[in-house]
Amino acid sequence: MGGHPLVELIGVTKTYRNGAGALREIELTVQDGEFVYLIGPSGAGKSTLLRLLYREERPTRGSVIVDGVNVGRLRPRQIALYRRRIGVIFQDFRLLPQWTVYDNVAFALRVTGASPRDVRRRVAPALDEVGLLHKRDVMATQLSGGEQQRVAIARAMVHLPRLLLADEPTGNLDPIAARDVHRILLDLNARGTTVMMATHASQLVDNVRRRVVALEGGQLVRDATTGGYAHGG
Amino acid sequence: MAARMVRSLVAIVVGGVVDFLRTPGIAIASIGTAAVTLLLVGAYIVAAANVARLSQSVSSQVDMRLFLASSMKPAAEHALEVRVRTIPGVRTVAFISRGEAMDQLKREFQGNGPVQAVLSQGNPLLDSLDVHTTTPAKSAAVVRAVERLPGVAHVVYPGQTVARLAQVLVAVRWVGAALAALLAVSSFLVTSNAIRLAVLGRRREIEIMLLVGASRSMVRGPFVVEGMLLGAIGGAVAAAVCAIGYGQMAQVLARAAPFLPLVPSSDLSGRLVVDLVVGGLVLGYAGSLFALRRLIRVASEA
Repeated sequence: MGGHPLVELIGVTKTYRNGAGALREIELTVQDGEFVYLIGPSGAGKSTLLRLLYREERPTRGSVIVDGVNVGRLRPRQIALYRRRIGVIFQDFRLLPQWTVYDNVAFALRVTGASPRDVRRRVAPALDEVGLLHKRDVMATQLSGGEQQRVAIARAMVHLPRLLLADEPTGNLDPIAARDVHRILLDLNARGTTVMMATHASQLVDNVRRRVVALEGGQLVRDATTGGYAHGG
Repeated sequence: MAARMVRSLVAIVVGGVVDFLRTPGIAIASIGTAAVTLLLVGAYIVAAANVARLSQSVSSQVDMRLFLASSMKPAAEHALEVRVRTIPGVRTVAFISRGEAMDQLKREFQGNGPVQAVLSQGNPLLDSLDVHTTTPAKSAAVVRAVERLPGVAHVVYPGQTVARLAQVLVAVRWVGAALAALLAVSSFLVTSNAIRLAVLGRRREIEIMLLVGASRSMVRGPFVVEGMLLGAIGGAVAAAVCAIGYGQMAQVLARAAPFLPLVPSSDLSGRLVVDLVVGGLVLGYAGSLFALRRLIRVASEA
C-alpha cells in the first residue's frame, strides 16, 4: 500500500431533492493502493457513495476528497479533467453496442483529444490486460457478459487511473465470469491501483482478505479495518 | 497542446458531419423546414429590396414634369418656360426636347430588345419642362399653378407616389421584420428539436463520453456542428429557390411591365446566398445550443 490517503469522505451527507436521504454523516478514508468492498442491501447508499466519488453527484454536506481534490467543489469544466484521473465500471457495462471492442476502449482516449498514435499505443496493452486483445475487432454485442465487463475494465484503465470505482461489476454475470472479473480487479490492485467495489456478492468478499465497508440506510455500519461496527445503526 | 486542440476540433467537426449523415431522415426533414422558413425570409428580402429600389428610382426623378402640347411652337414653349420660372416656389426649370427624352429612354432600356424595337418605330414623346421646387412642401402649390397654364398638356407629379412608396417601404420593413422574427423563432425551434432528438437518441453515448472524461465542448461540439450544417443547407436551398424563382419572375415582369425598376436578379442572388446561409448558420448554432443547454446536463446527471 502507498500509505497515504487517496480517498477521504469527511462528514458526507447526501439528501435528494425529494427529501430522501441517501447517505448520512459518512466518515471514510481509503489509503492509496487499498482494495475496499462496499457492501450492503439495495438502497444502502453504495452507488450514491461511488457517484459522489466520480462526481455524478455532489454532497449535500461534507467533503469528498480524492487525491487532494475536493470533488464536490469542482467546476463543470474541471469535472472532465478529474474523470480522466479515475476509472469507473458498472453492472450494465455501458459499452456502445454498435462499436468494436477496440473502438469502445479507444473512445475513452479519443474524446480527450489523444493522438491516433497515442490511442494505438495504449489501447492494445489495455485489452491485453483483460485478455481480449484477440477480440479487438469483434462488435461489443457479440461478446458474453463477462467479456463485455472486461472491455469496460480496459476502457476504465486505459487512462492508467490510480483509482478504479466498480459499481456492482459482477451483478449481471454468471459465477465463472464474475470470478474472472473479480480476479482482474484484484490483479489491478496488486499492481497498485486503488479499487473501491460495491457488491452484493458476499461469496466474493468472503473469499479474499480485503477491507470491507458496510452501509445500511445511508450510514456506515461496519468497517473491517477498524473492526466491528463503526457507528450505531 | 495546440495539436491536441486541433485534433479535438477536427474530431468535433467530423463527429458533427457523421451525426448529420447518420440520421438522413431527420436531417432532410429539418433542412426542409428550415428551408421553407428561410425561403419566406428570402421573399421578404426580395420584396424589400424592390420597394426600396422603386422608391429610390421615383424620388431621384424630378419634382414634377410638365408635358407640353404637341401643337406648341418653340417660341411659345420658351415663353412658357420663362413664365414657370416666375411662379413662387420654383427653383429650376429645364427644357427637355422630345428627342432628348427619347435618347434618355433608349439608354434606360439598353439591352431590352422588345422595348428598343417599339422605340425605333417612331417618337411618340412630347417636349417637357422638368421643374424642381425650393422645398418638397411647395410642390403641391406649384402643381396647381402650372396645371392652369395654357400649353401644358399634362403634369406628372411623383411626390405623392414617393410619399406613398415611403409609407409602403416602412410597412414592408415593419411587417417584414416581424415576419422575419417569427420565422427565425420557428426555424430556431425546428433546429432545436432536431438536435434534441439527436441528443436523446445518443443519450447513452453522451453519458459514456462524459464518464470517461470528455469535456462538455467535446460532447456539444458535434451537435452544434450538426445544427449549423442543418441551418446552412436549409439556407442554401432557400437561397437557391429564391434566386431562381426571382430570376424567372423578373424576366416575366421585364416583358410585362418594362417600366418597373426591378433589382437585377444577379445583384440579389449573392445577397440572398450570404444572408440566408449565414442566417441558417446562426439559427442552427443558437437552436442547437438551446437544445443542448438542458439536455447535456440531464444526460450527465441522470
